[in-house]
Amino acid sequence: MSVGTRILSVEDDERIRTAVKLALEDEGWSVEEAETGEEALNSFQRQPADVVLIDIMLPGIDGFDVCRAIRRTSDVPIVMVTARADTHDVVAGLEAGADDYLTKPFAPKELSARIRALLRRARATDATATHLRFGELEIIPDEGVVRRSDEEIHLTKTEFRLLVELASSPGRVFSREVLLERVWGYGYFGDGRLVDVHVRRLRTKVEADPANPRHVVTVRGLGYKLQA
Amino acid sequence: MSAVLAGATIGLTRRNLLDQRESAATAQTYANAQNVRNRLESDVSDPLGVVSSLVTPTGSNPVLLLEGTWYPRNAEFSGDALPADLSDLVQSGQPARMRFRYNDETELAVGVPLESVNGAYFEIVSLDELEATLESISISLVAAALIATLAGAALGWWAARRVLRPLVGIGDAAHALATGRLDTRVEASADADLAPLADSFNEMAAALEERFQRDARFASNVSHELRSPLMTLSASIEVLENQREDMPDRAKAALDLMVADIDRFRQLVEDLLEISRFDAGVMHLDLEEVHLAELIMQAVSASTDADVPVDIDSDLAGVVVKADKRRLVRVIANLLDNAAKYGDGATRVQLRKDDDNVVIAVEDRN
Repeated sequence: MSVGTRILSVEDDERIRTAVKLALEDEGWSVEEAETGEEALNSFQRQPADVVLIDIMLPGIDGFDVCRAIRRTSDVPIVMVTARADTHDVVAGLEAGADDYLTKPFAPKELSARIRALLRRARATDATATHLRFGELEIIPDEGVVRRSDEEIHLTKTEFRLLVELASSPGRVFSREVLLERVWGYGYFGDGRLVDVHVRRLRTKVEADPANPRHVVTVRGLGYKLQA
Repeated sequence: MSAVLAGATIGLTRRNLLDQRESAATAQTYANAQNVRNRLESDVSDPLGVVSSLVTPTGSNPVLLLEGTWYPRNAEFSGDALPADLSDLVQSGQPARMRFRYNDETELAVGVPLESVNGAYFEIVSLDELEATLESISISLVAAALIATLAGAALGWWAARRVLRPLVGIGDAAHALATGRLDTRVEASADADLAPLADSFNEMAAALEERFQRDARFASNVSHELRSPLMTLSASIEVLENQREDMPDRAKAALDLMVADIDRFRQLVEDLLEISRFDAGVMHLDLEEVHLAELIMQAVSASTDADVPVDIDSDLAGVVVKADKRRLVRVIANLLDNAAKYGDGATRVQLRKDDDNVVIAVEDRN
């Protein structure tokens, strides 16, 4: 991890906030705290953090709104802290723009691992694939640029990595497990919804008609693939 | 009941009618005998004439015995038609009557001795018509009894069913309730007797459901609340762990204990939440298509019992099911855990077929 990577931690419980800050600083991260959604947005506006950690249960504006607000102007990696994995909160958080989630109580070490995975650059599979073209889509992995009909699209790092991963073997079907591993660094037990929601988000940005995708296609029972 | 009545009716009627017939025939025979005797006492020259001129109702055949010779009006019904016992008895001076069968017909013979002229007078009366009538009455009565019985039985069965069906319904509902389906309710009954029962049942079921859900919600809320302190403890203990090497031995030991228990604590809260959510009926399964064989192997290798052999039925190597991956893995982990704790260790994990189902089995040494 890069020195001085700044995490913005948004949590209303004082003791939790303090304990998490202690633990993360112990890991080498720099931590900025916010007790409410409003405080978080102000802080982010003043000086954008490199990673944002948001507890969805906040007084005032809830975590989802904070996430959406940040997403309007930034592609910064966002990790949501949810209460349970099986509630609708996870999907809602992902749809609001989060890159990943953790359930409370989590081990700060685990959070560190997640953040490191999110900050990794998207890798190109080989030297020759510097420029990828799929119909009106143009992808330049090394620059982190995607264009649709020559117009640049803003993708979050995670969305971009997902796209590049699919583009590494056009036409090849990638299972959720494989994508979870390559993009998020999860093993078999990763949450497939991370992939599903990110595919949906990707479609809204790169497809002419997200409801009838031409490029990022679902292969029932198997996974997803990218085609021209 | 109707069968018994019919039987009794037939029996009594039959006896009555036959008795009446017999009495009538007997009286008539006596009257005719007297007539014959009077006429013969004055003039014995034409016995056949006397017999033939007798006025008798149809079906009645007079036969006269005079000085050893038989004079039947109807040649078919002569002395040899008479039963020997009757004939002898009457000839010995004793009036008598007897029912007998002659030529496949039932007959009644009445005999009166005519001592003054050394003879006897008989009448053979056919009972067949009576028999036929009786038979048809019997048939009718039996048929009627049968129909009444069947109709009665059908009516009774239908009425009983009508009463029992709602009771059976309530019985089934009670069973469903007992097996955990707390939302079971019974349809309100139109029957005045059953309506209170149905209402009471529904009231009871609603109360049970509410109570149960309240308990589950309580457990769920408490578990939920426990997360926050657990979060703080978890993070703080991690900070301490980073300094473990710099700690004095006793502090190290204390820290190790905390680390172990905090994890156990977390798992307990997780499990309690899982159970209470399930009980409260708010569990939501995250279903996705899961490759079973792969899931089992991953679950086993991630568990503390990673070396347990996994046996997959060759037919099922590629089977995919809709399942909640996370929970299914948890279930397998629990089974392996239990095998280790109470079964002296797991010996095998198997994926096999069972009729229409696929079975994941964890076997242990017990």
